[in-house]
Amino acid sequence: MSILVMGLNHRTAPVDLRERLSFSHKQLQSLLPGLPEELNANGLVLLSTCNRTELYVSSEDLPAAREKTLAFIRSHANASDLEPLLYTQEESAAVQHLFRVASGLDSMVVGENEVLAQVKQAYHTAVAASTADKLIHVLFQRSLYVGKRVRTETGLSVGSASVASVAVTLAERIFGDLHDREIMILGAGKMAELTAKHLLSQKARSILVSNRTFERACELARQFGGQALEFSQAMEKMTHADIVICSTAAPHPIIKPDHVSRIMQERKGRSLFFIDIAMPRDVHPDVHRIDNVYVYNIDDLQSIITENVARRASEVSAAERIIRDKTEEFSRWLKAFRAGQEHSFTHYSPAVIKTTP
Amino acid sequence: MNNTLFSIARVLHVPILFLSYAIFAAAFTVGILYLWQERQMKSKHLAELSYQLPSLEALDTLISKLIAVALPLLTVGILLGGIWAHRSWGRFWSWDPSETWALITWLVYVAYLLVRRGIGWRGRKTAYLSLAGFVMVLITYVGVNYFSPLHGLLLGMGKH
Repeated sequence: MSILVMGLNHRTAPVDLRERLSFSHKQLQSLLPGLPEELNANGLVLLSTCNRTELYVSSEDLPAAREKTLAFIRSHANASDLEPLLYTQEESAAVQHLFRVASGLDSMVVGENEVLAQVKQAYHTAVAASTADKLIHVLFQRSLYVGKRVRTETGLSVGSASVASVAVTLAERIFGDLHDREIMILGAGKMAELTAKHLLSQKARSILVSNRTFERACELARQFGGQALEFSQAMEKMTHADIVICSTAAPHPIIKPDHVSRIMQERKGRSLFFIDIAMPRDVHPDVHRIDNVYVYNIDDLQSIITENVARRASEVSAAERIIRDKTEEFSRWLKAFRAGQEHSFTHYSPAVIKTTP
Repeated sequence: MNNTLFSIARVLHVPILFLSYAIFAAAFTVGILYLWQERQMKSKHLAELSYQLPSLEALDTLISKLIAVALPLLTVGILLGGIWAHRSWGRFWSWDPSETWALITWLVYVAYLLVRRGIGWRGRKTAYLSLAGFVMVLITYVGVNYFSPLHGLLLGMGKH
């Protein structure tokens, strides 16, 4: 029994090709059951995300499976010169590849967490379609464990890497627990909506929405279970808000220092956090100079993301070390499995493997 | 003067003051952490360590709570000193340097609590005030040991 992975990702293939080769959950449900036979495989998992499409195939006859997998990809890719855009790994190299993918080392944003959930999803879909054999079961369960372990033992996933999550992290640096904090949204754009969603997932209390068009404000307010405000009311209500997300299309700053100073007096100095993702900016730069007021615009958030990403990069070698260990361990298991002497993995890493006397 | 009160004063004057100094020192440390983190948030560059610290509001509240505990101790410590002084030197207050500085320390911390809880100042300004208070504590302590005719124990000038 051998394992192989064939596929393409954001580094090897352009987006239009990745699009043609991406499969929705529904498509997979109908496609998967017949696939093992077509590919000469005992078991398989098809992992399809926006950045990669990969087939993990376990087979008794690897060369045949490789041929047929390539034919399968070619039939869907609809591209002439396909082979340079594909990669194929076999045996321990394939195992290592999956461990790297699950750990987020192969992702566009290194260390991102979503891919682990996607690997899990792909595995569950395969299990539901009965295309997982023993080798696939053990390999994928192991990869989920390795992905988790790399994230807890290294700083690979430390620090946020999206605008919305950086905004949440900063809000927590100021307020601590966001439970019971009040959020105000000025200008109901997509980005503002996403950021508000992130904040609400941290149990922030209530939300006030204000927009030039009142209908849109109502719509968003309904969606979040908040309250819609006329634009003119918003400035007054700012005395109650803790976090203000600005994304209006106003051509000039609409939030000025003297106004915020006045608000801060009424607030008795409680901190106020502006997340200004409007372009041009909604908050006058001098507002940031007022005590206990923090204004972060889109560039500020972006540069924190860059710092975090750089910090993650320095953790890559530690992550690679864990993956190398775990790959070797898995190869030993595979060897024993083939010889019919299967042993089970212990979770907290057998640095020393017991040998029977 | 009641004898029991006098002996209580003699036993507790120094330990109670030291306890209050220790808590003021903790408030000072938290104040430094607050100012460091506040500066990071204003400069928009966050060091890795700052992600491990409590939030700005939590630090700010902690300073205020520590001072609210230490100030009554300081007050009691000073009063006990007065009682002891009344018995030993014949008066409650002698404007000895350590007494004067203890009073200044007391005033700074009272001012801290007034502006923080009364007027509603928060954050950087009050954090600086808490640092100033601890500098007064240090001066009082140095004053005790080196410059005070009555409390100058290290120079052998202390009179009991």
